[in-house]
Parts: sequence; C-alpha cells; structure tokens
Amino acid sequence: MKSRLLTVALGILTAIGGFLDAGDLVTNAVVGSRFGLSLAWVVVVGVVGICVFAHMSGKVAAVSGRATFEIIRERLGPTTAGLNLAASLAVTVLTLIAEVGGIALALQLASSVDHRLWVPVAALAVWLVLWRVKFNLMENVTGLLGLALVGFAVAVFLLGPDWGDLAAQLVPQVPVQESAAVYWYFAVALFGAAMTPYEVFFFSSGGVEDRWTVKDLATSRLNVLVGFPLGGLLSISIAACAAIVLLPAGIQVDSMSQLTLPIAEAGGTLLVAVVIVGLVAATFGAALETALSTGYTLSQYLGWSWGKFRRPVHAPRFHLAMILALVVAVGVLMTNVDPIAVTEYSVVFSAVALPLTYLPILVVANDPEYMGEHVNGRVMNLLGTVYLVILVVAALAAIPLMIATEAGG
Amino acid sequence: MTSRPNRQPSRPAVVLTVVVALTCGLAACAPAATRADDAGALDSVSDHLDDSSSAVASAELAVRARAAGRLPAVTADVAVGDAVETATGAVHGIGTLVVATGDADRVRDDALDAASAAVGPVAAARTWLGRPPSPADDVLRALDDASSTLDDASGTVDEALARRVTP
Amino acid sequence: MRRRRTGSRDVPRGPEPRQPGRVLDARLHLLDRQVLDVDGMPVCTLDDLELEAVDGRSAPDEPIDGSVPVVVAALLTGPVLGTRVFGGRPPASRWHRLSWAHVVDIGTAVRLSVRSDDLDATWLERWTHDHIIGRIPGGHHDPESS
Repeated sequence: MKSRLLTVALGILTAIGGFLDAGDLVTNAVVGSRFGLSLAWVVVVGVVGICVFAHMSGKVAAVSGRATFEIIRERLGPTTAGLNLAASLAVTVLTLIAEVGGIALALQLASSVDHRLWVPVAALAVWLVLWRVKFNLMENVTGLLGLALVGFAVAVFLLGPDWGDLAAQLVPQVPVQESAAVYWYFAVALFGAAMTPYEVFFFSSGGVEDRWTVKDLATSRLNVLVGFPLGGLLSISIAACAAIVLLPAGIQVDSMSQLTLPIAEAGGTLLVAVVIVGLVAATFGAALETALSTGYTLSQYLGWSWGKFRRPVHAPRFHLAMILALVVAVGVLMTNVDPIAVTEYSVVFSAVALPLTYLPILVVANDPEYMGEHVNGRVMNLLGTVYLVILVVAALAAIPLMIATEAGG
Repeated sequence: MTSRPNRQPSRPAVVLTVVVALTCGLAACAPAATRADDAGALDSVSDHLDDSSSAVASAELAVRARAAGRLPAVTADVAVGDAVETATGAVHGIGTLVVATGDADRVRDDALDAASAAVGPVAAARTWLGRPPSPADDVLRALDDASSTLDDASGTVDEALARRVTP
Repeated sequence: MRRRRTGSRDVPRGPEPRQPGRVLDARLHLLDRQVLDVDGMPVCTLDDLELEAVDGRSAPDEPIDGSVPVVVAALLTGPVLGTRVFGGRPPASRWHRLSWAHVVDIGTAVRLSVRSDDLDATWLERWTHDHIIGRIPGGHHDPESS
C-alpha cells in the first residue's frame, strides 16, 4: 500500500514537473509581459484539453498494447497517415529545435557562456540519456528537477502583488495598447504551447514503454488529472510574475534571461538558482520527449522495431532516427537563429498541426476492436468532440493571424 | 496494385495545400523593412523604440537586482548582454527602414538618435557588472536618461502617426 | 511460384456464404497491420497479400476475379510506400515474402512463429545494426538493467 502511494505521488510530481517545456515558458512570459493575466483562460482551456487527450492516449496504449501511430496507419491507410506523419514530424522536430535551444539558453544563464557553444553539448547530453538511461529513471529525474519551477509560484507570493488588481486582470479583455488580432494570435500560441502535438505520441508510446496495463489506468488518470492542472497553475504563475514586474516596467520578453528578473526581485540569488535548475530540467525533459516522439512516430508508421526498453541494437532504425533529428536540431541552431523566435513559431505551428494528431486518437479510442469494453464513454466523447472543434478553429485561425499581426508584431 | 484506391486525396488538392502553406510561410517571414508606405514605416519605428525601451528597462532591473545582491553575477551578465543585443537590434532596425517623405525622415532620424544613445548606457551597465563592486548610481542614472529620451522619441513618433490619421 | 494480387474491387459478388471459424477482411484486418515476430519484436508493416488459386491451375498474371477460390499464400512487405501512396505497381523484386505458414495469430497485430533476425524483410534493420548503431559504444547495453 505504501509503495503504491509512493508511485502515485511520484507520478503526480513528475506530471507537474514535466508539464512545462520551452514553449510554455517563453509564451507565458511573453504573454504575461504584454497582456497581463488576460489570457490566463487560454491556459485553463488548454490544460483541460491536454488532460482529455493524454488520458485517451494512455488508455489506448494500456488497453491495446499498441502505440498510436501504428493504429493510425492501420485505420487511416498509408496516404492519410503519411500526410499526418509528415505534419506531426515537422512540428515535433521544430519543437525539438526549440527545446535544445532552450537547454542552451538555460545553461547560458548559469554560466554566462554563449548559448551557441552550449547547443552541441546539450544535444550530446540528450543523446547520451536516450542511448543509455532507463525510461523510468529519465522521466522521474527530469520531472522531479522540473518541479524547481515551483519557484515561479513562490515568487508570485513573495512579490506580494495587489491580489485584487491581479484577479481583475483575469477577465478576458484586449489591453488598450494591443490590437484584437494580436490578442487572438497570442491566444492561439498559448493554446498550442499548452497542447503540443508530440505529447499524444509520447504519452501513448510511453505507456507501452512503461508496460501499462488496464490495472494502471486509474493511476495514470490520477497523474494526469492532478498533475497537469497543477502544471497549468505553474504556467499561469510565470505569466503572473511577468505581469507583476515586467509589464509595468514596459519590458517585452524577448530572451530567457528576462524570466529571471522577477525571480531575482522576489526571492534573490537562491530562488534564481532554483529556477535555473528548473529551466534546464524542463527543457531537457521536453527535448528527450520530443526526440523520442520523432523516433516513435516514424518507427510506428513504418513498422520498425522501437522503444527505449529495448537495447539500441534491437531498435537500430529508431535510434538512428533520433540521432538524425538531433543532428538536424543542432544544424538549425548553429545557423545563429534565435531559439526564442524558433520557440514562438513552434507553438503556433503546433496549433496548426493539432487537429491532425488529435482526431485519430479520438477515432481509435472509439474503436471496439482495439479498446474492447474500454471504448470512450459518452462524456469523454462529448469533451473530445468539443475540443476537436476548438482545435480546428485555432488551427484555421493560426496562419491568417500570424500574417495579419506579423507574428505578434 | 494499390490498396484503398478510394482513399487517396485528389492530387491538385494536395498541391494546392502545399503551395498555400509555402506562400503563407514566406509571407509571414517578409521583413518589416520592405514596407514602402510611411505609416507602416513609422509603426515600425515605434515598435523598435519599444524594443529599445524594453532593453533599457531590463538592464535597469538587472543592475538594481545585482546591486542589491539578488541576482547571480553570471545571470545578470546574460540579462544585460541580451539587452545590449536588443538595443543594437533596434538601432539596426530603425536605420534600415525606408521612408519616403521628409517629415517621416526627420522623425526617423530623431528616433535613430534616441535608440543609438540608449546603446551606450546599456553597454556601460555590462561593463559595470564586470568590474569589482561599486555603487551603481551613475549607471542607473545614465539608463534613466536613456529611458526618458526614448520616451520622448516615442511621443514624437506617436504624434506623427496621429497627424497622418487625422490630416 | 504463382503470384497474384488481390483483384479489382468492383467485381459483382453474391453474399458470402457462412464460413466456419473467423472471417477476416483483408483490408480491414490485415493490410497496414504491424507484424510481430515470435518474441514480440516488430518486423514490418503488412503492405500486401499474395493470393494463390486453391487448385493451382490458373496461369500466372491472370487477374483473380473471384471465380476461383483462392488462399493467402504469403504476406508481402517491402519498400513500396511510394506506389501505395501514389498508385502504380512495384516490380516483383521489391517485395519481401513472409510465408503464411509462419502466421500464428491475427489480432491487433499479426504474430509470426519465426524470429525477425531470420527474415529477409528486416535486412535494412540488420544493416543499420551492423554498420551504424552496433558500432557506437554502448549499443549492446540493456537500458532496463541500469
């Protein structure tokens, strides 16, 4: 009983710590410094959505023992699934670039060594973990260290803001100095950051890696339902920190170092150090997950052997795919592109690709051949369908809004 | 033979989707500096001045936090280094804008002066961080001055923009 | 070996007579399914089926129109994604055959009774293993044991 409680607690803690990635960190800080908390509602919508779909993909993995992309190809045929693969893979690699850049930026904060020098080191470290470390250990360590981002929530309290004023900001409204188009552009970006597409593949394949069975469903549901909303609260506290300190000073976030300024004001050197550890862990964890997701999707579509639970020599093409993805990420970052800009684009393109990844999981979760008696209930399907509509609207709006606002101007 | 022949999307539709996606992507990346009309150019000047003010404010916060011992030296250095980059980027952005009329040209020149003047204090802040601890008053005063110069320039740009809207 | 592909779909057919055992729809239950070896190791995705007339009388390359009873002779796989997506027919040399005799179970995946290392279909996997991944230090390390 005791060990079960420990497992649940560990699961919830890693879910909180693993919730945030470079996209969440950057987008929330940018939004907080420009819109205060007036976009916090988007995070809430995104968190409910990711809960719904993470639960569904975990369930598919646990019940059928097959991973999502295998089933997508089996059900939709090679053409439709192939288009889906191309879109998902492109967005996942873009996210991987953003995460590796994020690790480099976070390490720069701790060392003052230029982030371009950290990029190869970061990618090599990611690869070594993918190559050697046990799946569970990798998830638990990055998740628990990622919990250090609780520092943002602590900072909000230490800053001692006018709580009434902060609560008043929660009302969705377009600030006077910003246009409605820019407001909605960032709403889409924030939504894409909260519900990144790679997560579906990661949860479902991770369930297979962890050898989930129907018995583990209750635990996984608890992890998701408790861990993710708390992770969402961390997202909002990042925006709150930016809204309390950076917004009045007229600072628009365009670098990761600006995230530490409110922390320094609130908690001093110690809290800054804690938050930097959290930044490194969160981006590192997300880099691992996105790299794995590129391997998962490609291998599952093409029927290759995959999985971290196998020795690398027993899943050679899976490991080769991840190595190539990391090489691409390093290559792109070495062109001197701004990792923050890559991150901002990655969350918007995530929003574009979302319906493609979420529709199949909804279809599969209703397939009695794979799911048996565990097919979606009526409430789950209603929620899933409502979210599908939201996803489609966000996806269709993303590119026109990006053009109209010059990517947020 | 192919399986599921009835499931293939029509090829023109696929081609159209790819073309639209590429066009949209390229359009989104089009640099702001190519905009020819002055209202757009002045908007850009205003945006770059905002960036410049943001950089100065970031440097100021970092220096204050460092002076109070609340920010590790390496992190403060990175924060101010990023601010220098943003400030010089703003100067470059304003300097490379193309404006058509003399009126807008004058406004642009003022903005360019203000943005250029802001780079010095931010760079000086970074130098201050690298030196042994000393009072930050001079550095902060210079940053304050740069900030008010930028505010004035922003005001001028806003006025010029308002004149355009209501001639 | 006589080789047949599944024929055109628009041949008019009467209702299927009731069969003993389990009825499998080739498209629904076989195509694009994951094939696993005896140890549960993924082998490939199923791309096509090789059909053969029961009596073995009909000539090669004669289209199968449903008039002769056929059996599945082999599962086919290979680097044929291009023709599957864009249409056309790959040369026979492209296909790797997995004999139907090796199939032990068809569920959410197709299970074989042989090891994937012994199959032609996994040559690329073995090549990557021998020439790239196997040469990187630690490639043989079992991640679960650490």
